[in-house]
Amino acid sequence: MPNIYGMMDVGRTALISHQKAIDIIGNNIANANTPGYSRQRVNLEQNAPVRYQGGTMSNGVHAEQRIQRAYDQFLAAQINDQKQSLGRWTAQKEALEKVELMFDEVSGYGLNKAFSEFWNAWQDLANNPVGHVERVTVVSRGRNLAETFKKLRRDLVSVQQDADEEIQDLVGEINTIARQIAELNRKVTQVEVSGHNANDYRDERDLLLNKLGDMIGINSFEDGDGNVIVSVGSEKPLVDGTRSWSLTTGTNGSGFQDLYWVDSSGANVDITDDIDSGQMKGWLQARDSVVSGYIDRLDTLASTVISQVNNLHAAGYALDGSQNNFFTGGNAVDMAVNSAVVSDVNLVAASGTSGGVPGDNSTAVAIAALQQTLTMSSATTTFDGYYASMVSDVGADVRDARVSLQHQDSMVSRLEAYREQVAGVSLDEEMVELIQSQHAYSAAAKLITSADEMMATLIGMVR
Amino acid sequence: MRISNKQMAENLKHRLFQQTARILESETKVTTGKRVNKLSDDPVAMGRILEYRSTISRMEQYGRNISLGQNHLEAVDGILEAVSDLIGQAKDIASNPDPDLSSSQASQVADIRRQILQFAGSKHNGNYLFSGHQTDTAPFDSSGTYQGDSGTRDIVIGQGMTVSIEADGSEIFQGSQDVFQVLDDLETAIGANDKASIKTQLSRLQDALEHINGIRAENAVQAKRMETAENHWNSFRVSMEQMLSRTEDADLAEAVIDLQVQKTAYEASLATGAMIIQPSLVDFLS
Repeated sequence: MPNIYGMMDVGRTALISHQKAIDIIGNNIANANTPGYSRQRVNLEQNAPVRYQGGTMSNGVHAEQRIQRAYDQFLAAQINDQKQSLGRWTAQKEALEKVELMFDEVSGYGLNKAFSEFWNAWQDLANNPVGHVERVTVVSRGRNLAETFKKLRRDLVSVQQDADEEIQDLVGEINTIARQIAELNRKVTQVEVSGHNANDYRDERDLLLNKLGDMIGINSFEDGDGNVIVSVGSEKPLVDGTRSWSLTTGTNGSGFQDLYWVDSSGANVDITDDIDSGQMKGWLQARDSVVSGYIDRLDTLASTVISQVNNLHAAGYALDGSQNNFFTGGNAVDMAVNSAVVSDVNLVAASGTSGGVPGDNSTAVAIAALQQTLTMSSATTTFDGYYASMVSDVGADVRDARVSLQHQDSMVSRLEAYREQVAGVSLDEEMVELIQSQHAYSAAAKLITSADEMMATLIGMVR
Repeated sequence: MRISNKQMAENLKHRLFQQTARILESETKVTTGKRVNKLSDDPVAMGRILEYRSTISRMEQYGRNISLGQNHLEAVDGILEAVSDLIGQAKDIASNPDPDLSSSQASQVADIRRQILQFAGSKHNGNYLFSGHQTDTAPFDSSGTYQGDSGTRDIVIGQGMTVSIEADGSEIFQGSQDVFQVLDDLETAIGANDKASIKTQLSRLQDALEHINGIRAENAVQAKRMETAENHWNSFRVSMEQMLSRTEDADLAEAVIDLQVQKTAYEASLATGAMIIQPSLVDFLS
């Protein structure tokens, strides 16, 4: 048979449970804009009724100890995967857009123009082989060409150096995050062993995992105890339970930093080539493959220009009959006009007749004709053509990186939209729930008041 | 489907960013007037633009070469014309020898010889015109001995196309007949009133004149070649520049319309954004 105290008790459980629910709703509202927050929900469960003598006595309600966290594990894994690619293309696009800026061809002041001016200067010299002005012009255009080569190469190297610095910065951040994840592993297991859900720690850990994935390609999974296990490169552990390993860098032969994983004994293992995504991959790829490829092509172009011009020039004759090289240096690093020629422009060889005949312009004509000669790529293209295709390739690479990034970006935002659908806070929904709980709370209070009045009536009877 | 407030806000931001980026791109096109503003805007076009630019620059250079060559030819022709006139004068004297005026006629011939020698020693842009490649050496000494070489004046008028202008003074002035020797002999003959010799010199002068006129005719052919090349490069350059413009320049009307369309879309997004992110259930609870 029900009793009034039992009713009051039911009212009490309802008050407490709905208060708890409102508390969680409040927390959801407060965190509506918190990155990585997964909305939480109190699950109410009816208390086990007491049955006796064929009757059932309700026992009220209680809030489950585990606060439910709206979370889709597969979605989280997918987001992490796509974020790794996103990081890679973000970095690669950033590096390549810098490269794009270095090729100042759209405005028309790049290497293309320096080339044109250089060849034209030789034609002008051919028109007046003894002219002092024409000789000075040939030398200054030659110096300009060499300087433009050197500047472009320096600029490209500076992009590599920027990438190198990014890589070193990333290593520091990766190590910090690895330690934080290990610490959160400890906290999560500690909380959950007591039967609670460590929702806040899990949210924080997921956020860090996403950040880490953005920085470097990782593999991660959760073990039975709630620990996240993270590995990088070819299955090198970064976090396992409460333990974390660290990464470090070391200077390689080209003066850049290689990436190492430090094993338990403190020995460095080279994992530079094992990274396949994340910003780390983007920077490594830009530094060691894309930009260094451009530099190689630039060097090839410069060295061919130097050798072709010198071959003709050294076979020609200066005004005083001497024979000299026009350029010194071997590639875009050290290309320069022969200092002897710079200090005495009469050493420019325009003549092809031994003894240096002043009116002979055959060497100047021959050098000017190099512009049209198939000198590059096993005699299939001209200097201009080779450079133009290189510039085209840079543009295409930037474009590819941008398209990949856009694709990756829309992928991630679509996945994050799904995640938001599951885990995000809808204020409208929270309002509805709030009012629902509030009504239930008021009703429970009313229940207690009724029980109280019933009790008063009962006591009044006795008086 | 649950839609969270954050998702709505993120979507709106994402769309607005995308649209502002597109507006910026169209704006750049309109303000620069160029379709290709970065290498990546159109990598293939960029490669072609570079090729067009160097081709145009090369054609301009050919144009400069040709106009210098034409200058040179005009100078040469002016001198050779004057020399023909002088030889004509010498011929006049030789065809009407007057024994009474023999000494004055002889000195006239000597004058003519001196003048021709002077003309042969002309400079153009500081270089001797008729001493082959020895452009810093006078072609003839006072005795009429050639001091230059047989080099020609070569002008590049196109890829692998060269115009060679005769600059060998010995070929021009001493090719069929040594003009200076003939005039020397004529002076002597007139002084000695040697009719037979004067007659011989007259026919030799005729030879020399014909030879020089032959050289002038050859030069005229070269001038014609240069003119043809110049016309060719001019029209070719115009079409190259058109191609460059077509590759590089934005269609302004299209760019402006694009910009306008994007602005409208942007404003629409702003308006809808303002409508959807404002209200929530909270606004309707009292």
